[in-house]
Amino acid sequence: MLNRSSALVSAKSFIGDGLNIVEASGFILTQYAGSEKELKKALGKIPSRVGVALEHNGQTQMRITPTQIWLIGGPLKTDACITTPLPSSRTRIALEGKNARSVLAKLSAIDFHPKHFKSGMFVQTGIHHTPALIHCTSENTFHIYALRTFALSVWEMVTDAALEFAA
Amino acid sequence: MLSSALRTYLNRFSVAPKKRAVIVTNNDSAYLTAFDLAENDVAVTVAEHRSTLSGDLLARAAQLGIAIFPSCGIADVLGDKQMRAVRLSGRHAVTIECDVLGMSGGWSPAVHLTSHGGIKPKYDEEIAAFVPGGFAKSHFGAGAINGTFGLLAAIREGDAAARAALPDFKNFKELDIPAIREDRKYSIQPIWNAAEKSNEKYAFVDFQNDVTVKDIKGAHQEGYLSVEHLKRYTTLGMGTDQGKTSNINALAMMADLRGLPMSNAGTTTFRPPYSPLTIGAIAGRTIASHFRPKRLSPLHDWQVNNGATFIEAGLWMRAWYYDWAGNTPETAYIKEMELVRQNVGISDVSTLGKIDVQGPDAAEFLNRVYVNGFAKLPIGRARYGVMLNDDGVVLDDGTTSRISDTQFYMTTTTAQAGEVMSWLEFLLQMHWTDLDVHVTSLTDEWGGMAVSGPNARRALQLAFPDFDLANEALPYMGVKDFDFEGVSIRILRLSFSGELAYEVHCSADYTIALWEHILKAAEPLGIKAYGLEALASLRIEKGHVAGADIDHRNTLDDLGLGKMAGKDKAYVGKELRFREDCQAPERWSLVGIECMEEGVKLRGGAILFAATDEIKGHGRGYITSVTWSTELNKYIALALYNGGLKHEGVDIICAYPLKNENVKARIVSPHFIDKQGERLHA
Repeated sequence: MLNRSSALVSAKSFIGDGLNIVEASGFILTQYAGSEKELKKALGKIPSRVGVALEHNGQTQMRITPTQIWLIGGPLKTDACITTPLPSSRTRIALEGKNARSVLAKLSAIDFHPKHFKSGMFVQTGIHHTPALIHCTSENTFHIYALRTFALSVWEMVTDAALEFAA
Repeated sequence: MLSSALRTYLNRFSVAPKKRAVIVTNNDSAYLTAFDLAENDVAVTVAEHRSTLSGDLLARAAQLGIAIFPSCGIADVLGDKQMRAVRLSGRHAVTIECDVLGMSGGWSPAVHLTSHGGIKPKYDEEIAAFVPGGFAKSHFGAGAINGTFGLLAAIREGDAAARAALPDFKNFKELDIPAIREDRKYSIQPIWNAAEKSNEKYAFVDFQNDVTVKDIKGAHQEGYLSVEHLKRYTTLGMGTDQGKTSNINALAMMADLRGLPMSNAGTTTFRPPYSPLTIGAIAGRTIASHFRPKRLSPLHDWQVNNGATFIEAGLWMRAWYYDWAGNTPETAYIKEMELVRQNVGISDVSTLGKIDVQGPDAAEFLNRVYVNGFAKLPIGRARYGVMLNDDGVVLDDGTTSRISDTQFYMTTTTAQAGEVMSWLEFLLQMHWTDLDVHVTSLTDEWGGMAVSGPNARRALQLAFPDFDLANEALPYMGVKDFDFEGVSIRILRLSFSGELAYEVHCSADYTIALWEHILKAAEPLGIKAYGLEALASLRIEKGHVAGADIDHRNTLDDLGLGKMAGKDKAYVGKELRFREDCQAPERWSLVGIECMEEGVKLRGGAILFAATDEIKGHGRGYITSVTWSTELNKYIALALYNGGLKHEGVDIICAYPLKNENVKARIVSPHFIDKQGERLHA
């Protein structure tokens, strides 16, 4: 078997005060594209709008445009819509802890206050001039999906922003 | 300088102007400066625009020996490299020797925040200044912002504002005001234009952008009457002080010229920042290594550990050359080229743009995007394609492979990957909404490596013994997918180098493992890695155009690609491609260049002249790419030249004025090697 290599192999996990930052690898990302009807036929229940993830059958669906849905989890075989496997395209960085929102606030011009950015919501924004999707998986846990080729730069930017919470 | 600045220098930095100062003023606040200077042994004279002064100021001035000239202004400032004297205007037209002149024209509240919020300032006659026309809901102002300049009054306003802001807060204590002096009433007599008519050309209103009284009158005469036009016509208020010291005077002058009261003169929209910001405050943490992101190939870590020297290519960090071949790029790339020409090398091509094009109309879509036909491209075949902007100019080139009836795998140049992706999205969303096609960037998903050289097939056969790489099974421009040790591999028989070559693509997470596997398997052949410099040089020998040659000004014909365009099909840019100018015979078009001298080199960017030309000006073209040719043993180049290959065989001069070099060269075909393509099809 060929061995998998992470884009963050040189990065060390950040364990700080009320904040841990680690690479959350081991996910499978597949993109499904098509009309509303095609997407429903392929995936069954789908998120009604962009910005709110749907947890379904142990998988997470994120509608990133009206016609495109990301599925995090085991891919579904379907001919009902267009399927594009993207398992290597994104590197997932997890931030966890009471100070995670403070770090995110330094990285992106999004209101990360818990009143506005709630568990289950995601935003497509930019971190360090690169596209990134940020998913709030629970009150103080977040997944950043960064482009693989920019992942190390994004990681360095995130951990730099977290320095005030270094242990 | 400003009178208040003089006071700041004195009290904050202990700096005083030699021994003699003149203060010109129309308001009481300048006397704070005058008194402080006098108390520090500076002889002070005040030119006072007003005819009367309050008794307490006169008494204090007399006590400190300050001379006051009422109903006076400044007619002229004398001196060359430093101030020598001022000549007073008005009742006392005398000349007073001095070292500095402090000016005080009154104070203007900082209305920027409210103005930025859309609330027009209003003019307050009493203080001769604009104040906020109101406050947004839940905003409150107190003190100087309202034109309330006294400290006691500001404290009281602050108390009132706090109570208004917190109507439900019941526990306010009575205001406990510290023992301070009663406010003196702010007294001002506006003097908007103090210049004498003969001096208007040198009477500066905006000291930062050198806008004079004459300029403002000129704007009025030219019809630039509104304050917005005045600003743009004269640059008034566009300096770093954003008009803090000039706007009010200029607005008043324009109102006077128009015969309007100040309240009707209008203002521009003042905006924050009001206080100066450092560039560092704006940059924040995005400095040094965080200044911009670095983009890394999936092979980057291997390259770091295996002797690569890197070069920045846009945001990408690319392996430039490897230390097995030498320690300088000048020598290393030549060894790496020789490896590919004589044996086999492997190079990282992961930075190429890669786009998944899928849908029932994918073939039709590509047929419209590319100038050449893609509708009938067979499954398992790749085709070189060129796309134009809608203005008929070349946008990008690359190969696109047909994976199935409805799926294509597009590659673009590294530099244009993002632009091409946006362009395809734009076409689908805005122009061809009837086409059922979806595009997705795979640049991050897939890594790629080129295995090139006469032994490329043998190398890959060692790496994938169960996969048939014979010419019949995988001919030139053939594409096949297969699984290898649990990973999907895509092999494309393409060649950028001009040699027998293959590109091997796979999921980015497995690119290092696949690369190492090929290197290990083909080790008996002597396979080694080669870098970007060799990659880019090999293609020059072959005559493949790339980013350096495609400069967004070339047409298809300029690049010698006109014949590949479909005559009977529509494609983006077709109509404008045939504009008269785009077909002009003297356009700068692609040629090859051979160096005709020994011991000298051709240089990228060199300006090209005919042998009989005077070496002057922009010449007849320029070199876009250059390399040492290991096949021809001389420097060769690709260039754009006036009239292109019409001049094949003609001797020219390649001038490089920065190094004072004029090198003899000859125009030749841009295809330097294997013109019949025998190596590609081997």
